[in-house]
Amino acid sequence: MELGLLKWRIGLQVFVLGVVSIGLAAVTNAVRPDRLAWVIDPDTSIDPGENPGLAERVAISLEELREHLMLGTAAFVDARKPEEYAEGHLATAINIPSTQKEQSLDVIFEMLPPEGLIIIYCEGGECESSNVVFKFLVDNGYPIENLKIYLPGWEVLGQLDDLPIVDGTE
Amino acid sequence: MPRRTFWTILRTILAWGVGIVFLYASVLKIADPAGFAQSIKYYKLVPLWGVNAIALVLPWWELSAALALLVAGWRRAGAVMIFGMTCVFIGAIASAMVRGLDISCGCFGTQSAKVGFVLLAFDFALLLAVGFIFLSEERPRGKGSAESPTAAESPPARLSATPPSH
Repeated sequence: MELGLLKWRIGLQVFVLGVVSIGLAAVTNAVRPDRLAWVIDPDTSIDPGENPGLAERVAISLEELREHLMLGTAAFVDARKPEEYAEGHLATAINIPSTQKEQSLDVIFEMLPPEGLIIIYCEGGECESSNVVFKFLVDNGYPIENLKIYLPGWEVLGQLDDLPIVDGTE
Repeated sequence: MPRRTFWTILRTILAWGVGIVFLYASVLKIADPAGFAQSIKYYKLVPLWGVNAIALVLPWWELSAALALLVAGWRRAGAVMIFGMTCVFIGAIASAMVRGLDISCGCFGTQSAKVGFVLLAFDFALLLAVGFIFLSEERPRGKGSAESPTAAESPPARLSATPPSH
């Protein structure tokens, strides 16, 4: 087969495979129960990382966090990795690593009453782990209005002397 | 062992090896597009509006390319697609490493490895494999072709600007 013809043939095959793939993606996504929107709508997303308005609503200040911690009026979730949690965490916080959230579902239902306030923190920065756990909790029936995120995370909490901080995995 | 047989066997083994890797990776991601979309977001390379579309389509490209790699006559097209996708994966992984992102690659759904040099080496090995498959694949013989029956038998036969003359 001539080289030019071969190039055309390969190009056409790649084009056909690409188009067929898009069609299959569309069909399978249309029939699956957990259908994914083709374009994320930031205004309706339940992921604070995608929805700036929601992120603003669920953010909690250090003063509020401190008050809930001292009064015991909220449950705390540490969304960092287990090894980071073991090095130090808020005394009452349970560890739900964002990468192992599915495995933590039993612990979540046992330790976190949906009707109570839940404050999530992670390592700090953009706090992607907190957003992932937040969305996971909402997906599993926890009301958005009962969930808060402390965005500055452990970067700030770990530096404070007046908070009850413990180490270990319990 | 005749040289032709050796190169043919090697090409077949590589095509099946790479094809199975991509088949496995694609099926895991097709099963969990939301999880794959999350992995794409972690790279912080794609605008939010494009994340889900990529999460939905890319695994099907992987699947079709993997299947093409296993079918004679379509193998080069599969190799071209896998080469292109792997180049993009290498760019994304290298970019995540340079930015110090501590993320899993998302290549195999929830079983993905962390981005790092091992993963980069694996992707470069994939590039080499599909490059070899592309170059060593025998050209289809059209009716009235001037190619001799042994035109693609040299190890590995390459695309050339002029028809081989034996």
